[in-house]
Amino acid sequence: MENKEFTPEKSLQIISEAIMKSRRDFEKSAGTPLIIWGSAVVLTALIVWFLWSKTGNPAWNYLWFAMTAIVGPIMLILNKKCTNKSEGIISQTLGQIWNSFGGIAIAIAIIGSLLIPIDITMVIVIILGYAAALTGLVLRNWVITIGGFVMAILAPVAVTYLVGSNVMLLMVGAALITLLIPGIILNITNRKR
Amino acid sequence: MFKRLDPLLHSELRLAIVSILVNLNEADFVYIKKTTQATSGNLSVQIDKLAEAGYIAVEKVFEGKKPKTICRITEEGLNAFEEYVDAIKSYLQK
Repeated sequence: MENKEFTPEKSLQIISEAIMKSRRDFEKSAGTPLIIWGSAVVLTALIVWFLWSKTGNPAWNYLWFAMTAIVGPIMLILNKKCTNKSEGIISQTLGQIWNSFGGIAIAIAIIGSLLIPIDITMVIVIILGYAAALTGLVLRNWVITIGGFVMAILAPVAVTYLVGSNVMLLMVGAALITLLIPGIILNITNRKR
Repeated sequence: MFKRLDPLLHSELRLAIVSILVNLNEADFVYIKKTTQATSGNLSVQIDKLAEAGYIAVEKVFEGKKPKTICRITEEGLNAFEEYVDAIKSYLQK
C-alpha cells in the first residue's frame, strides 16, 4: 500500500476493506479455541462417564477441575504466542462471554460440590448453550446460535431421562453441538475464503 | 458545499491504519503491516505522523525478549475519522 491521495470512492473502499480484513483475520482463528475446549470437554466427559459407571463413584467429577487447570493455562499460552495480535470489539466481546461462562461454571461446580446439592451438569449445559448462542449471534453464525439455543432448552428435559453417570452423555452432546462441531465448521469456512 | 478532507487522513496508508484501529481496540505493528501490506519503513513513518497529530497512541513494550509496538486509536483520532467519513459522504452525495 502506498502513501498517495485518491478519490472519495477509493476512501470508502479502503475503510471497508480494512474493516472487513480485520474481521476476517479474527474469524480465521475463532474456531480453534472452540475445538480445543470442545475436545477437552468431550474427552473428560467420556472419562468421567466410564469411571463413574464402572466404580459407581461420582467423585470422578473432580476431574473437571483438573481439565480446567490443564486446558486454561494452555489456552493462555497459545493466546500469548499468537503473533499479529489484534483485539477488536468482536474478540473482546467473545472473550467476555466465555470468561463469564468459565467463572460462573467454576463457581457453580464449587457450590454444587461443596455446599448445596444442585444439578451441576444441567446448569452448566444451560449456560454453555447460552454462551454458545451469544457467540453465534456475535459471529452471525446460525449453526452455533441454533446449537446453543437447542442445548440450553433441551438440558432440563434431558436430565430427567439421563440418571447417574449417564448425565455425562448430555455433556458430551452439549460439547459436540456447542463447541467442537461449530469450531470445525468455523475453521473450514474461514479457510475456504 | 464540500467539507474539507483532513489531509492527514486523506492518504491511502494513513487512512488504512486509522480504519484498522477504529475497528480494533488495539493492533500491533506486525498485524498492521500484514493487513496493509506496507513496507516497515513507510509504515513507521506514517504511524509516527499519526501519533504526532495525536490520532493514535503508540506504546512500545517487550513480550519476553521481543520488542513490540502496539497502536491504539485516541479520542482525537476517532473524532477525526468520523469527520473524515462525514466529509467523504458530502462528496459522494453531490
